[in-house]
Amino acid sequence: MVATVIINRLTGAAPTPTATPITSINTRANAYDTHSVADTTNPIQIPAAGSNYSYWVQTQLETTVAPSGTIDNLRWYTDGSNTLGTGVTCNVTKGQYADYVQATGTPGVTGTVLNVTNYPGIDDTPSDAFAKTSGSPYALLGSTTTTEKFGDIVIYQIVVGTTAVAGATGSETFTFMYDET
Amino acid sequence: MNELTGFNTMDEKNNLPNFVWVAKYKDGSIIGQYNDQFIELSTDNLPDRDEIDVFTIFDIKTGKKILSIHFDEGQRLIYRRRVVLKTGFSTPKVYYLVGWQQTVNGQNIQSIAYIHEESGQIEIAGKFRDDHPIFKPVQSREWEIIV
Repeated sequence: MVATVIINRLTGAAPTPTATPITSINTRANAYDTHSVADTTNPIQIPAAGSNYSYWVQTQLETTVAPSGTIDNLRWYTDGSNTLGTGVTCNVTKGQYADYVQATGTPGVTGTVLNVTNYPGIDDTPSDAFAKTSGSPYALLGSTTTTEKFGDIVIYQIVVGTTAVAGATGSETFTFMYDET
Repeated sequence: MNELTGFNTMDEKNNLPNFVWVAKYKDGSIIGQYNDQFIELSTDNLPDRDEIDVFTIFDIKTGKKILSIHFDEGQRLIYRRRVVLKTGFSTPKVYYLVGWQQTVNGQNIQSIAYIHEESGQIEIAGKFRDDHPIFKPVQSREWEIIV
């Protein structure tokens, strides 16, 4: 068999977060550290000044059927177009599973901002997710020859500014790409 | 010899990828991606790569040949199954990178076919391109010299 690879969302406490498959479903970036498909509780509060944030969302690949060869050359990207809505952006960075930090914040208000201080293990300063495109994707470390969670964790966070409009944001699709032999 | 040996029923075929490869050697011997016991071989483990004569991609459900690469002396096989996995979509897009590379007068040249599994569309390109959504470089193996 060729490999079967799924996308997991990681939530909960370190060092063994809960891995929830989200390959074929939606996952919401709300102001709490829980995967949900359609839960509208704990929304991110529109700030009077500055920014509020979602709890950061952490995603990682997992092989549930091993390749006969190797999976490598991991990439992550968006469609390059922010359709989340006015005053809403998304930042992304990456890190290793061993450095996983659970998302925190004030539920229903804001997550803790994703930065090196609050998440010491991230590889890069979080930056605009929509700058990561198919022509210029995020290069992830990692490879696998077996069944396991593998590769860098991709960590993204929704940023809500004062001009945001109340209600659900638009949805976005994020893409992982890999090679298999 | 039936180059798709072992795949005699649709049930058997339905558990396998849509496209599979078969390598035919200069001595006439054949190695397929799956043997009669459905054990898969990776192209990383192909023996005697310099002796591969033809590398073919087949549509496993129809048995039809999709693409064959015929190797000249000094040409080396490049093969990857490139998968694009989107959140919210259970079915990934798959591209097969099939081609060759060769060192000529100290320069590496290559030709790679990119086969889109869903449509069967084939695009052919030379050097890998960092800024192209599909023609991106591979992570090379020790027997591959990638430019």
